[in-house]
Amino acid sequence: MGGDCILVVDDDRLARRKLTLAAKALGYGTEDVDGADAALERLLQPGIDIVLLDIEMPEKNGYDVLEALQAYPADRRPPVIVVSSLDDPEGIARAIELGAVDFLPKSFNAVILRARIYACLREARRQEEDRRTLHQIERLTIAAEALDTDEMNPHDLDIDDLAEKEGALAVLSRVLLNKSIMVYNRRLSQSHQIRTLRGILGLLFIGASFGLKPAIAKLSLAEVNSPLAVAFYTMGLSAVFITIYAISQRAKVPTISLGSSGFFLVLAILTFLPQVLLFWVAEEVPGVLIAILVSLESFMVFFLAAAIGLEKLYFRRFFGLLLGVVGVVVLLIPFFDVENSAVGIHWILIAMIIPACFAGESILLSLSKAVDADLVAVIAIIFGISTVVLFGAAMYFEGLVPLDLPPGKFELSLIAFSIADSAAMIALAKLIGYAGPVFSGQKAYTVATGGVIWSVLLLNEVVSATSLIALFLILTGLYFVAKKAVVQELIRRPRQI
Amino acid sequence: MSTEIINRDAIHRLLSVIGGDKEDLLELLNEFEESAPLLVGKMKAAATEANLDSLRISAHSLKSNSRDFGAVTLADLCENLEHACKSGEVSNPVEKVGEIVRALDVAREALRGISLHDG
Repeated sequence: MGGDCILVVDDDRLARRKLTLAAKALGYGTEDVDGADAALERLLQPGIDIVLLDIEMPEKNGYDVLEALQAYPADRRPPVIVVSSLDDPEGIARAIELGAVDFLPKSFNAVILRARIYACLREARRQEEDRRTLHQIERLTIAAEALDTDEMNPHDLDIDDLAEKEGALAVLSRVLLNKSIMVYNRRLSQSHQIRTLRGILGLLFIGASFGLKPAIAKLSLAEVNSPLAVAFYTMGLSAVFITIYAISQRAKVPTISLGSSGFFLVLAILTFLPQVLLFWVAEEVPGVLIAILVSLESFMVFFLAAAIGLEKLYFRRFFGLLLGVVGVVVLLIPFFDVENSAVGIHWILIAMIIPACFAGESILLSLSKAVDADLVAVIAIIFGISTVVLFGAAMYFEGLVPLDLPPGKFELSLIAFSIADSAAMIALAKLIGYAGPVFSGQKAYTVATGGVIWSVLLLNEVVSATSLIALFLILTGLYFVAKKAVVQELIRRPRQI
Repeated sequence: MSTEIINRDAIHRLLSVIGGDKEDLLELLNEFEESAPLLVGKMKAAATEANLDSLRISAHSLKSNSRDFGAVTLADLCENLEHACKSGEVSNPVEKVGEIVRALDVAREALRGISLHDG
């Protein structure tokens, strides 16, 4: 009975005082009010466990209180014992029909009062327990229905607290939660595996496509010795291919304003300049070397990002960066021997501008969150601008290389290069959209490896020991520098009791 | 005389119900002394106006209170009046209230003669 509070409702002060003293004598807390309205107002608030209600009151009587209480929420309807004369059985019956749980004769004794209050409180507690159990069953049912119809996170089922209790319902909740977590985690793992597999396939495709570019450039395009014209043709064809794809996909086109035109122009320069440089250096630098040097993009991206505060330089990444630098030094060692080297060191340094441009392009793209458009449309526009600029430059400096019809080796090489370039760019745009820029940044591995393999297969180049060591060092360095993509964590199972 | 008018068993039962504290019993008795004349006043007014509902409620309260203090005659008179009001057949209500007033005076006098400390 500790803490239970009894509300005494009686208009007669003496009767009210008697009931209050009697309830206090039994160890209960008490409150008292002198009428129906005051009682109903008090019962809107919590804290009353039982009501002793007089029936005969002026204006609103006890029956009115019982009727009004029927509209109260269950947790604001404590059991009511009506106080009535034994000579009024009809009144007692009416009160019980209206919801009173018991009655107390006016001339009661302490034993009767104690027994009736105790019985009422016990019944009220049982009803409260039933209500709570019913509510828990309702929550469990809702959770089960939600699980059946929706692939939702088990913790959103909102039954964790039930699972941590004791009793049959808690066991049921735990079983439901455990099974749903098991299914959810399995689905999460499968989804992650599929995404990873698709991402890896995308990376391999990008590597094979991008890696093909130096080999094609070296195979047939560089010998024309007109890098601006070749870059114009390849960039133009790629722009056409990517635009056709963007239109077919109904890609959202960016709005180019006066303010953003500078941004697109810089991006275009960073796009066509490496293309021009590639055709320029391809005559002089082996394809294997170009492929390895191009992979330096990731280091340069990280270096630039760290320099402008976009990335933090901590030990793991610093170590990776160091390995990359060592790899480059190893790669360059044979070329410092100017007299015996087949390739001038300046060609190697010029080739290193290519990944530097790519790095600048990546940084700029990552800063361009304001561009509300699909990436593939942005790329199409950049390629278009590049083509226009390259046309002007080619006409001014070299003139255009005439094209033959039907297409010969040169023309077919232009088409092959452009297909590889545009396919790689489209795949990259899709991969960034699908797996995010962090995962896509790993393309450096596959591009470098793809370039080396294509050079060996198509150009019959031999991979020297220093190139192999350099490749190994650079790829290892990339591993340490590369950011790990965020993977959604699996859910823990609830505590077992 | 007091032993005939007041049922001491009723007072003992009341004392037991409120936990046995005689100070509390004295407080209730004082409350009865104050409230009973007020109830009688209401009854007089209701009887004059022939307001049977008001008369019934006041008679009901005085009946219960007087029964708690063992004022048997007073309680019986109030009960009779209450029943009569309920049935709607009260002949000469002013006179009936007058009987109740006299019985109340006797009961109050008797209650004053009872020592609450003599067990």
